[in-house]
Amino acid sequence: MNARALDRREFIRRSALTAAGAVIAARGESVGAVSLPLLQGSGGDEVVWDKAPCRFCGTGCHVQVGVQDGRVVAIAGDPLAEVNRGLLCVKGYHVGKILYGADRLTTPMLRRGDGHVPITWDEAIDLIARRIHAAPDRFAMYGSGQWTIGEGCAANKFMKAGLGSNHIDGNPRLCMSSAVTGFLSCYGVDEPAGCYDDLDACNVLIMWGNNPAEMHPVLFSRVIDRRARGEEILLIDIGTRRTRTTDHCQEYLEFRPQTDLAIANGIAHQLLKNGSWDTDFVSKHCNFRQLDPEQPANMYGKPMTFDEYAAALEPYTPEYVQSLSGVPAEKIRMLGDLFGDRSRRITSLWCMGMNQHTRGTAINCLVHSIHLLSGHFGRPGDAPTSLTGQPSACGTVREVGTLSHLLPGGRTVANEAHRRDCEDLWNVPQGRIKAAPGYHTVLMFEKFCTPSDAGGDIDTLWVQVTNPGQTLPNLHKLFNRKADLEGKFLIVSEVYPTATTRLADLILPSAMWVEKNGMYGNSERRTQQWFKMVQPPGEARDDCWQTIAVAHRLHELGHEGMKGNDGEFIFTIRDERGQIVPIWQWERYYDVNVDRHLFEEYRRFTRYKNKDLAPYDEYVRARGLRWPVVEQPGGTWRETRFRFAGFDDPYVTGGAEIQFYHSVTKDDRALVWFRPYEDPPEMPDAEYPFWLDTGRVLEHWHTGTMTGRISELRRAMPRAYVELHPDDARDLGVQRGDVVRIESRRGHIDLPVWINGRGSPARGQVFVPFFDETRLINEVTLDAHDPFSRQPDYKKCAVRVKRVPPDGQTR
Amino acid sequence: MSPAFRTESPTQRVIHLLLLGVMALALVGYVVGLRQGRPAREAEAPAVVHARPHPTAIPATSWAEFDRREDGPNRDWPPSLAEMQQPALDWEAEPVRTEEGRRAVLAARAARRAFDGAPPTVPHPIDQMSASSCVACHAEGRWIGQEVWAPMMSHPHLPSCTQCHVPAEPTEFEPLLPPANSFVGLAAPMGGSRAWEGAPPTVPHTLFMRNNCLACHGPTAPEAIRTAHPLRVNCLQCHAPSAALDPWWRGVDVRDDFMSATWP
Repeated sequence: MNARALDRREFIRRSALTAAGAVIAARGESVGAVSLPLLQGSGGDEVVWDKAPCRFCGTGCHVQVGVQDGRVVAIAGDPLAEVNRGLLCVKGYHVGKILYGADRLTTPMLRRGDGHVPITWDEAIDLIARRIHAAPDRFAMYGSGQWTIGEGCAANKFMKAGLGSNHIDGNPRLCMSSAVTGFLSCYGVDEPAGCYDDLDACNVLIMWGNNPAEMHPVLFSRVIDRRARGEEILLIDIGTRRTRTTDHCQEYLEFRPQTDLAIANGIAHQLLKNGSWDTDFVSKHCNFRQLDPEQPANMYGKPMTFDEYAAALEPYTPEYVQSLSGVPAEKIRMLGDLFGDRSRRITSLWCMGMNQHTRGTAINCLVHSIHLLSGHFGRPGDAPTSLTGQPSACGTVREVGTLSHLLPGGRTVANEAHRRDCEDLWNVPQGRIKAAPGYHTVLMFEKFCTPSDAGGDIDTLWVQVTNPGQTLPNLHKLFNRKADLEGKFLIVSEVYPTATTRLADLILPSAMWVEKNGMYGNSERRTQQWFKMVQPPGEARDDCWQTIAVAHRLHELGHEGMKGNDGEFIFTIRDERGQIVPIWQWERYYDVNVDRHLFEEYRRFTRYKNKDLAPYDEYVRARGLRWPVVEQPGGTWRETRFRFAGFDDPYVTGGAEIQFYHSVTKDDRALVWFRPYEDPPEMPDAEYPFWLDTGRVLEHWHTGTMTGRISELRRAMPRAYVELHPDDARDLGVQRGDVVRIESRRGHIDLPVWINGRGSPARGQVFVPFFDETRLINEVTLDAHDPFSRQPDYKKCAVRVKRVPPDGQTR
Repeated sequence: MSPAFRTESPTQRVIHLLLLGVMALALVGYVVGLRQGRPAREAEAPAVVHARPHPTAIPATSWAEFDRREDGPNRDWPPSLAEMQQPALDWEAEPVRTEEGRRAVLAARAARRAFDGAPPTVPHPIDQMSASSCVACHAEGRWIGQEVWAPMMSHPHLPSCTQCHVPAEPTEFEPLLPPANSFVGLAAPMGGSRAWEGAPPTVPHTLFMRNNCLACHGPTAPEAIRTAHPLRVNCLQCHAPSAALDPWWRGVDVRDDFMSATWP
């Protein structure tokens, strides 16, 4: 960046500081006092612009939202945002349209027979509270990486510190939890050490089962734009299917599903064999680790010596890895040589390919391990970095701890000291928080879909901001079965009718995105804030308000858990004069900025694992800040780009180059793991001869409930399809557009064939996107999951494929 | 008179000479043919090529035509970029610019965008896997026949075209009805302001990601928004942009800050 650009950035930074005061004053809010946000942009023709993170993926682009006459009319990429520097993807440019689908839910609806009838909010809140009050232990909450941080804080406190129940889990269990267990196993603390700045500094980018050209397009452009400017970057796609990402890569290494573990071990084998591993880095900063066969459930395993480690890797010669994976031995040697070259800057990226994996924890550990073993860690551009699929999977679920075994700020329910600590911070009596983890996602829905008298001990389930009726694996078993059960009550807070509201007993209409205040946390530890800009339609209300209103109704019904140590309601907020603001009344909810109060309470939890967050008002000024955000002597707040690296991380002590200060082994060292290759639980056989892989496409975000209502996106990608290899299509006697039946041991769906279309799978594999609510591929997928992260594998199961003649009957 | 010594008639002599010539020519031809090593069968090839196909035969697609095969993304376009006739541009013609014309241009522009500032959709099928084919026509702009102008990219430094631009119509599957949505997008401005009659108009839109004014206002543009002086290339010398329209400055109170900011 030239000096002039730096001047400009510095000028804007300084300007923003003074301007922020004006922005806040315009909202009737004073920094450091109780806030009073006001709606803006309601006058005349003028377009008023404000900032918000994009509603969709975990990249965390900032958009500028243009509001005219109380409605969103335009979106622009925010050039002030470091994440995207003014660029968006096609979803982001059209994000404003998600608010205006014709079928927005606008009134609470209660099931009556086969349909739903409108009821009032008071009736709905009372109904939920009474159901919980009658059987609090049989109630569970299922949330989301799209929850704002405030919504997650409210739900977590309501469940764990209020009801004393850990039956709260979030959908990141289905997308991120193997990354979490990988980080914990290697570093003792969750989330990436590096950040997106690595993408500007790396000269080798390895994508492990990852298609960022479609799933994280702005990050992918950040790299290929460098190449367009003349920089040399080696892009390597290690995948099972040719994609748009492959088109930009110099190397495409196609491997057989599950054998990514063999490839990673093959790289480690090469580093040892060539003597090119970083002996200095490893001797200073690493210990070796393996699973303990006597305690197979212990994620942290047991120590191993270097000699044992080398012996365990001995079988993984390039030729053996080739025989397992299909990747030519010379390509394994090439990867080994790359990692063995310290002059290279190597960044690894991965997302669902490594996480939605029955050995997700293991492959995450192995990729971290080859970076550690080779010393490609801690310098800008040298980073193993996992990407997230949801805008706040990190911010709301991993950091706030809205999973069944977690507490805020990286604590766990199983640890007594952690529980005591959180009870103090939440100001609730000792012993309120239960020690036993609650049900994880798959188990929660299994219990909900099992008759109450047959061990199904979850009877009431409240789903917020997610669509499990489409995203759970093996839907017939984990969701659809609910339709036939008596005594089960499904509450769904939603913005549109979905595959989940289909079976809901009570539907609550929710405000979304810039219809409410919010905060998100993206993939690179960046916490972002936005203000409400427009009113939600009809009777739609904030999810956070819904939770607090139910909590308060329980308080009125006499539930002791809704009281803190001081005898007050656990969500008590006072205004500047010390008066309690009845935020459980909707018309008073925006008298204060509830988000700000919840965030300031939550912020006190974040120091324990050095995930420090700055005061709320700092985020109002910034386009996000990456934690730990540490106060400086002058009263300013400094973000951290490279964790554990002495040159940047303020928590590294004693001038160390690298310090893993949350080390599992308590000696400031990370763990280099050995994990063997093992076959997946279901593999193609004579009866079901094809691998099924599922995933996303550029135009649609997850289940398409938002993007499906945007004509530009829906028309470009109207419905699900199945990709076949041309030779498989020939053998099956099908052509493009023919309909085939994809059938597993669990279910089947019929889909049109697309050959050499958006992607191109290897022979013997098929790929189906999961966005289409009219064709639910998850009725076919497998619910087997990783033993540590409990994350299911949506990327591999065995299916058979048959042509469906036009009469609809398979032969 | 002995019949054995009949002298040849002039006609016979000519025939013999001709036969001798033919034999000599055949010999020379044979030797030349041997030296060139060309199989005689080759000569039959044209007959096969020009043979009339059987009425029910389906012609095979050659590799060269693969991208233009019936279901390929470029099926409607002429065979090669080099063969596309590019009309000579008149760089000095005075465009006729009417308000009516401008409305028509903006309407056509709006039909391909969700709002002013949204990336336009693509009005033709695309290669699903590769963005390189986009650049073939759109890098510099190109006439496709006489009617269709493939516009020039105004941000050529961004190579992942399909990240933002998606086909307007599904090309692979049956289209669905577009979803009902009440979003109303921001309209494009009608034009810049002038300080007085004859003053250069200001730029009524953001310049962010619009690196090349001629992409939209050059000699290939519709007349209503075409510049009268495309050879003067330093556009911003006379046409002032507005910070108020620039996303760089949104959220910053430009007016007050210019008064109070101290530069580093």
